[in-house]
Amino acid sequence: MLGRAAGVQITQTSSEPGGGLSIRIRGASSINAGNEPLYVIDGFPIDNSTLLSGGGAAGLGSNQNPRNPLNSLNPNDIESIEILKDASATAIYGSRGANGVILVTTKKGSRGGVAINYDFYMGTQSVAEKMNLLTAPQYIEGINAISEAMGDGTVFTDADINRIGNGTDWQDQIYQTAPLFNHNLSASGGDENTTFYASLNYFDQDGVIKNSGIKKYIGRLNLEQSIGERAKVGINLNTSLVKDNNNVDGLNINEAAGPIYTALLYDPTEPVFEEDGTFRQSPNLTINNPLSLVEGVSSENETNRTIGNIFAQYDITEDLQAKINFGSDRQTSRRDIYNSTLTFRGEAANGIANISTLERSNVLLEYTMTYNKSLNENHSINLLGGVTYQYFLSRSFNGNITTFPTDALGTDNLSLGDTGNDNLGSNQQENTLLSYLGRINYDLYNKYLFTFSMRADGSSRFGENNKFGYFPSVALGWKLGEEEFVPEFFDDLKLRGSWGQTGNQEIGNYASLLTFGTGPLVVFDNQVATSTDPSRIANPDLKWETTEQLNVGIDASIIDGRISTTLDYFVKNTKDMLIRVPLPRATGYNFILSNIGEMENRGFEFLINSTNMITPNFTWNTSFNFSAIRNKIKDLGSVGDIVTGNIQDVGNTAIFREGDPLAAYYGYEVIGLFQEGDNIAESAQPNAQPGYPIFRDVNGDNAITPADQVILGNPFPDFTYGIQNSFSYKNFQVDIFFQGQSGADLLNINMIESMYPANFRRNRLAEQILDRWTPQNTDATWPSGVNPFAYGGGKVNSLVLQDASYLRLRTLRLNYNIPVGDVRFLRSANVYVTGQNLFTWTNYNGFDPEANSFGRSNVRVDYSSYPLARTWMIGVNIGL
Amino acid sequence: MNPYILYFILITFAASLFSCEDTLEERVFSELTPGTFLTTENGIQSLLNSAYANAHLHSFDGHVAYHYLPAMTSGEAWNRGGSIEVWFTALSDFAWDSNHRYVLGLWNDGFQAIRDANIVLDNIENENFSTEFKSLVTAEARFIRGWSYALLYNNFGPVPLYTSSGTDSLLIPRASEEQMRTFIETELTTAAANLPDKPSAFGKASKGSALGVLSKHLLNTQQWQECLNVTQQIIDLGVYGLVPEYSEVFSLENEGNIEMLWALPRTAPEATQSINALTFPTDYPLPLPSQNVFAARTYLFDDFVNSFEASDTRTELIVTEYVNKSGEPIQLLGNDQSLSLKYEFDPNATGAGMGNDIPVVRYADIL
Repeated sequence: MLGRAAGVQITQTSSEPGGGLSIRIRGASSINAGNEPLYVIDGFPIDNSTLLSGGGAAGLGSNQNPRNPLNSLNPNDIESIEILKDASATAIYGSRGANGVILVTTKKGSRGGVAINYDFYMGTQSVAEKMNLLTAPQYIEGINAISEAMGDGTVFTDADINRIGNGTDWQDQIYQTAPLFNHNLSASGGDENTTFYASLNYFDQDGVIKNSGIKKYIGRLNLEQSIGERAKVGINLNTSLVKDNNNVDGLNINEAAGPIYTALLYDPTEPVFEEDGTFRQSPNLTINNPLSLVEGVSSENETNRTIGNIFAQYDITEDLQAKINFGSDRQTSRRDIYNSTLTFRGEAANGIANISTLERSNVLLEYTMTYNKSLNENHSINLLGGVTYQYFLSRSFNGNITTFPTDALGTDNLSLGDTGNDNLGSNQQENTLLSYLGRINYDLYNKYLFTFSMRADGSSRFGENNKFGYFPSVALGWKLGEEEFVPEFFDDLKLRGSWGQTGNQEIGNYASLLTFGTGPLVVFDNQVATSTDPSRIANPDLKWETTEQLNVGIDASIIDGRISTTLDYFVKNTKDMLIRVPLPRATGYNFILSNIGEMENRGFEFLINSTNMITPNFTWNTSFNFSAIRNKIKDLGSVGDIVTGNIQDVGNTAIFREGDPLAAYYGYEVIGLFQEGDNIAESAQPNAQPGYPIFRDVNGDNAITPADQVILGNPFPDFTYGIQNSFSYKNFQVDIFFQGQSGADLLNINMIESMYPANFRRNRLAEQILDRWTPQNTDATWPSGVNPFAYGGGKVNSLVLQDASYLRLRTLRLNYNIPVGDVRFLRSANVYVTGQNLFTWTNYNGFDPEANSFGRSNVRVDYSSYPLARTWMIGVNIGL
Repeated sequence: MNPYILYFILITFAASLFSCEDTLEERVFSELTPGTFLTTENGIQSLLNSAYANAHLHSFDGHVAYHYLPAMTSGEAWNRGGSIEVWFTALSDFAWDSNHRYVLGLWNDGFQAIRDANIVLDNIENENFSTEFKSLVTAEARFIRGWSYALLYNNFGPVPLYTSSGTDSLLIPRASEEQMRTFIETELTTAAANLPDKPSAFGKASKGSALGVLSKHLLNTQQWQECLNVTQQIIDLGVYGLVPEYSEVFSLENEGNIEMLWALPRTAPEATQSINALTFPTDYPLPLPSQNVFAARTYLFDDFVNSFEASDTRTELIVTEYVNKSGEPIQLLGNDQSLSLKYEFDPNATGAGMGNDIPVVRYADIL
């Protein structure tokens, strides 16, 4: 799906196995409420909330990249995916459809016989692109030179240099070439009254970082039964067990950081092990030996999820149909973390164990009636009315304990820990949606199509008097192809237009209520006591955020359908935005969630499918999509600028500002480096040294202050595109898929870490040291590295912001259909080779220009993100 | 069956499913609502605990600010290393702005204590509460406001005066110098009148805490005679004395000693301070493997160390040389790198956090 649909930006925000996706359909339409689309699987809108990800007391990075919610779905079961983008199309899923809807339909059985299908593939993955760090000899030279320039003398003597040799490549220590396997078995079939589809899937993938991976076991049964002439019942049932091994980095830094962060910063002159075989921990650093984190910390999730829905429909008359749909989605997840004595933190506490459980469930009840009537050959009408109710419940429990006599049992026997050092927590929350909807479709002369819909959506999350929001939509279609004045040249030509409103309620619970929750610990008589403090400042007037969308489009196809195209232009306006409005901290609160302001996304989407060549033996198809979306905050009310995207010890990275794109990067502009002989004393940075960056004094007050921060760029691409070429020659097929984006920026926090090393003896990105300013290298890109904390300005600056444009060879697939004509029991057989992420053309200096360490957030940064893997797979598919 | 009858049944069935009026009512499970919570003495006490935790500058940023804002700006100490270097260097260079992490840390803890105290005071008039409870809690809450505003005033000058928990007017301007001082003095004087001579637990407010904080405020605002009067009141209380050995004033064993009028109490491993972790270098031999330090070091200038007379016992708590983990001797004094060991390494520490209390007002300051 990635890169194949116009107007849909799908980014793999974390490349870890089973890692998170972020999807923006027609741009980001909300600032602080959710931006992810709604997934509807076989008519059941699923809960896409994040699962357990925190590190708890074991001090693991709190990974903000949620697991992919579709991990529990078997890709082989998917019959089709449809993406609903405009307001009229999404209206039917209204209360959660403001960000678009992804409709997934799974396979059904068909009447007559039973078909069995078996698919197997295996593959190998490796890190696509390592970060370019200093090697040990380069590091020694750089550290010695900078240390001397700082007046601290030489760090490494000739004897040291001989002893160290090539040192350690810490990236190699934590990376691995990782296997993956997939087995899939399905059976489908049916008779006059019954159809079924059943499947089993087993998937096992190791990650390219040691000690990470995913295992999935998924089963599905889809069953439909006709009862008499008028009634039909059916069930879709999907059950899965997903085992994640995800000891990976979050946004934690320094002592609390994970293996990727530390591997990028660990001193390359240090050996991995001491002579006695224990892990070497550098006396000069307080971050852990990266390999000791890989081996010393275990973090495992097990998630059981069962999604099922049962429906019954009955034709009351020929024209009138009633349908009831009952769905249930239950997941239980348990996360076990053990931080052993191999790490600093684990050693200090003699082992830390943390177990968290989460139960998340929801039920759906939906009742609809439709009335279909052709009044005569020129008029037909379709009416739909319905009511839906969905109830969500989540309950969690976590416990942690330290001080174990041994690491041997991990989290399997918490009672071995010191019960004086334990902590417990639990939480329960619910929320409810209740909606009424009506829709009229009217078809006139089979040329003009009218649709009108109206919804009343209720959500428990809003203020007492604002629970319900009302969202209308209209759509018009004109089948120009049916008109006589349109030349025969067009096989099909259709004009479309729609306008509508949809609501967004993706905020946390209780925002309209004043409540008290767990406060800080307090010490009395040298004992800790608990406390309670206000959870928020309540806003009893909170109401729905509304997105209004205008869409015009054209569909056309020519030359017997060999070339078909779809063109859309849309304007999406979000108002009453749910924004965390900052408050003066003197109130004791950070923000109040309020309905304020307006934001616009306008864009253009284009899709063309073409059969370029078609002969009996050879065909060549091309599919190309392109979209360009402009995002702009139009109004923030009286709030003014909101700075956001805080990273520990970096500060805020982005800003919401009227007239600019959402979450634009905000910092200082570097306009050069000070040179010897410059009149530094009279400059805006009188304490600077030659080789320090010159920050632009925007307001001209001859001082560098926060008022000199400017918008440096923004994370939105100017345009995104995808191009797929498929060739088939006799029994061979080749598919080549390229995908890319242009004009987006991405803030790479690892660049900042390297420019401002928190510890002098940390490693750095090679280019920053090799091309640093010295009295000899005066036209350098990077500053001198001498006392970087005295540079002034800020860590978020134009030197570290990167262009994240790229073009990627995403998929290359070669398939051979084995002729099975003679083999009676075989229906079909084919073998294939697939390569993924084979090549990326980009100037971005990091693992992946798509990464986002803030997960699904609109604020994008790359901070110790999981390296992108290049994958090769071979597979076989047999049909019986 | 007549299809229209069935139609009717289905409609009725659907309507009955969804007609509950309270379907969208938001039920709260894991948090407390004011109606049930703030009407009990335990509820008020629990909220007061939060006010105390904030008044104790419980956050990492708050207590680091309390210790280092004066140390880094006064030429007593300087720093190298750690992610914190960007913040500490800005303090030494007098180049901080309103977004400075530790300046904000102090501001936040102070105003959160005020927020909690205001909610307590706005809910204390309740017929279910005993008179003694109301009197004591009111005095404690007013002490917390007095102390917090005195701390903010000392660091920032006049600040906005929030004196109620109402949320109608959240944006209020700075108070005048006069309003600020009057408020602090009234709060602390009133609190002192109703607080016990000895706190019910060390860490809570006593008469001495309120008068001690008031005396420092009066001293800082150059009200010499008033200051003398208040310190005399403290002496007259007869509950405080001096610890014989200077070093023992700060020792873990001696926490809550007779010299302490008001301190920021800590205990390991759950509610800790990180001053030693920000002071000692990574190669310093720590007493126990359960103790860690950060990459940051904060050094005392030679000028500062040499300003003590040789006979001054306070110098016993300054490390001027040590032998590092690799067995090499390291000379600190003479290189502007002396280390403060005012707080002993806590054997109960796990990691960088230690449980040593941070004294605010000592009897030695009063005498």
